[in-house]
Parts: sequence; C-alpha cells; structure tokens
Amino acid sequence: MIGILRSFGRGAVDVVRAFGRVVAFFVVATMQGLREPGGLAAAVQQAIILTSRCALPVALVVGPIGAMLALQSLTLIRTFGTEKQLAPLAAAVIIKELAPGFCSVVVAMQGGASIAAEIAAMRLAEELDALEVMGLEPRGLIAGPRILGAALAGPLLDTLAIVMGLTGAYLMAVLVMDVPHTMFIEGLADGFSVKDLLLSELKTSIFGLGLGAICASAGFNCERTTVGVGAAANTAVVASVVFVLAANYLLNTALFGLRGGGVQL
Amino acid sequence: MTDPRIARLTTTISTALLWPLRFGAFFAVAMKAAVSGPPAKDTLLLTVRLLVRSLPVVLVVTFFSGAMLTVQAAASMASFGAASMSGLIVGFGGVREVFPLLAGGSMAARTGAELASQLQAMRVTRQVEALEMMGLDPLRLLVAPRLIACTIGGPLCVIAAMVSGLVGAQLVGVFQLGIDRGAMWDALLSTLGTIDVMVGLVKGVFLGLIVGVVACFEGFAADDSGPASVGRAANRAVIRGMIFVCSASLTLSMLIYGQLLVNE
Repeated sequence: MIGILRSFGRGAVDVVRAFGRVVAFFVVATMQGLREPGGLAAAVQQAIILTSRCALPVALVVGPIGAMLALQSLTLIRTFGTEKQLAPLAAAVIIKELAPGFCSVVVAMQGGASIAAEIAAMRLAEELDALEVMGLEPRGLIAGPRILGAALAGPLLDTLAIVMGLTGAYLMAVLVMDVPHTMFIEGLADGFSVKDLLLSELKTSIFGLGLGAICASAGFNCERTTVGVGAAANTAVVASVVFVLAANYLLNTALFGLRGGGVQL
Repeated sequence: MTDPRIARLTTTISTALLWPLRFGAFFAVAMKAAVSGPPAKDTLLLTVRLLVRSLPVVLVVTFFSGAMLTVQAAASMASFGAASMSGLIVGFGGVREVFPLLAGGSMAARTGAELASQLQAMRVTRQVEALEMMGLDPLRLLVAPRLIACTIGGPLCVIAAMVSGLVGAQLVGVFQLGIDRGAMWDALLSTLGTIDVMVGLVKGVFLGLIVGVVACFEGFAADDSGPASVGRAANRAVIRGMIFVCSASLTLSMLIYGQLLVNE
C-alpha cells in the first residue's frame, strides 16, 4: 500500500519537475532566440517549414471532423425542426473549439514529433555540444526559432483548419443531408464574430509556444542513443497532446470566468 | 540531364499514388495472418501492454476534453440562462464523437508509435529476416498478435474515454460552474441510450484495428532503412493513424447515425 502511494507521489513530483524544467527551458530559449542576430528570420523560416509539413495532415483531420459535427448537429437539430440553426452552430463550434484544438493536436503529432526528433538527433550526433564548444548558445540558436516558429505557424494552420472544417460541414450538410445551399452560406456569419476568430488564432499561438517548448526540451534532454531519439519524440508527442487539451481547458476557464459566462462574447 | 528536383517530385508523386495499393495489400495479408491464429501468449501480453501504456493517456486526454467542452458550452449557453444545457450538449457530442475520436488519437500517439518503432527496429536489426530464414512467418508471429491486441484494446479504450470524459464534464459542471449535481448528471445522460454505447464499442473495434494496421504497416512494410528510420516510422504511424481514425470515425458515424436519421 505504502509502495503504491510512494510511486504515485514520485510520479506527481516527476510531473511537476518536468513541467518546471520545460518552463525554464522555454524562457531561456525564447529570450536568447530573440536576442540572436537574425533570430526572427530563423523563426519565420521554421514557421514556414512547420506549416508546409503540417498543412496536409491538418486538412485531412479537421475536414472529416467538420463533416461529423454537421451530421451530429443535424440529428439533434432536426428533432426541433430548426435546420436554420445548423450553419451558425457549426461555425461557432468549429471556430471556437474544434479547429484550434484539433489543429494543435495534429501540429503536436506531426510538427512536434519532428522538432523533438530533429533536436534529439543533433544531440546524438554531438552537434549541440559542438555549438557549445564554439561558444554559441544552442538553446537560443536551435530551440528558440523552433518554439517561436510553432507559435507563428499555429494561426496559419488554424485558419486552414477553420476553412477545411467549414468545408467539411458544408459538404455534409448540403450535399449529403440536403440542407439548402443559401441557408447554410447565409447562416455562417451569424455564428461568430471577429473577436472569436482572433481568440481562436491566439489560442493556437499559445498552444504552439507550449508544444514547441515541450518538444524542443524533450529533444535537448534525450538519451544519447538511437532508441533515445525515438523515445524522446514519442514522449514529446504524448506530453504535448495532453498539454494542448489541458491548456485548452485552462484558457477557456480564464476566458469565460470560473462560473462560466463571466465574459460575454 | 534531368533536374533533380523534377526527379524528386516524380518519385514523391509515384510513392504517394502507390501507397494505397501497398497499404491495401498489407491490410489483406495482415488480416489473413490475424485470422489464422497468432500465438496466444504474445497476444495477451501485448493487449495488457497496450492498456497499461495507452489507458492513462486516453483517460487524461478525454477528462480534460470533457472539462473544456463543458466550460465552452456553458459560456455559449449562458445567454439562454440554462447552464445545465451544457451537460446535454457535452453528453451528446462528446460520447457520440469527440471522446471516441480522442481515444483513437491517443492510442495512435502512444501504442501506434510504440508498435511502429518496435517493428521497424526489428527490421533494422534484421530480426525479421532471421525469422524468415528459420522458416517462420513474421506476419503471423509479429503482426497478427499486435492487430488482435489493438482490436481488443480499442473498444476498452473508447468506453474508458466515454466514462472519463463524462466524469470530467460532471466535475467541472458541479465544482466549477456550480450546477446542481443531479441536474448535471441527468443532463449529461439525457440524450444517451444503449445504442450509443454499442456504437462506441463498434467504433472502438474499428479504430483500434486501424491504429494497429497503420502502425504495423509503417513499422513492418514501409520502404525505409537505417537507424533514423525507427523514429520516422513512429512519427508516420502517429500522424497517419490520426488521419485514418478521423476518416473512419466519420464513415462509421455516417453509416450508423445517418441511417437512423433517415429512418426517423
């Protein structure tokens, strides 16, 4: 019994310790990354790489989810006979929740894993040590641009996710479920405001910072073996998926207040 | 003298076009191997391992998604003054779509990556060839037990995901939003029936199978070599697993719930 408790306690302490390490790593890496000459340009370059790598998976994941949303909303809405509500509902749910959430999960799975694996491979090949020997700061040079790049790529991919999600919902609603075309298109704008769009983009940007930091730090602290590289990528993916969902909950709570509806949007 | 970029582009396109064919062929042989009776002990051990590795991730991920959806839904419903309506929405959308989907995604991220890197590592270290040399069938010995384990583990993970998501929603609803305990729970369960649990089980079987097949294909049959290929195989297994899970989930929903919609 004591043994089980002890292992639980140790697990909890490990989680807290890992969290602290990531936060410290994040602060150092981004500060130094910004201070490096050409740091911003490097970040933009990383953002482009990340966007091109994640665009197709994001589209392929969020598209079906939009269609699914339309299908299930229709099963609920048709019983009340208010099909008109479908488009605003789909727009609101996709823009506020599904697009940023699932887009970030996919970025964590595809982009985050590649960030972690790339940096871990550098660690394995002792390239990071070589940088240190030359008096350069690998955290600022290597990790900083990738973390900032993930934050820049987030909103771009979120926009793509919103477009794809709405397209999926449109295809399902209009082509499969025979909702009138004009009713759907005209209803879309009623579901969201510019503020919702900006919040959605801001969310993905914050998730990008977080998952970038988690994955980069996993790569930096990996074991120096071939297996270690794979393990680092895998831990990074799982940790950042959990991070995205937990952070999403905390952000929603912060936005809407503890009791819900604290901020009227 | 051809431009190397054009050569690279043509190879990329041709591999992309050939991928479905190769995947389909692998799927057929793997299923045949799975039906032909894999070693029972390995299958059992792999199932236990899958549950031990994936269930914690599934539980944490769906718990937070239930919590997050409740906060969002309550905020959207606040203008109607009925916060407990959020329970209805989360119960309906979560159990039918979001929780199974995230369970599949978590399985792909955890078990899919693990299976792919295991098999690819066996390929790289030539253990698979060694089995073939000895006249043993690596598909039956390595791939089949993993497929069966995923097919058994899938529905268990989906059911666990539903429970965990509902618990997350209930806890947030009661302790954070201050909704009455009984009202919240009733709202969560009000739209659900046995059919949703059955559909969850069916989805679980298919999603688990898909995660397993994609992971085994990426680890076992993909054209990749060298030590770095282990990481790449895991990476592909995760992202392709996620994509396949989404499409499969949509297809299943259309087949099952779309049918119900027509009948009503």
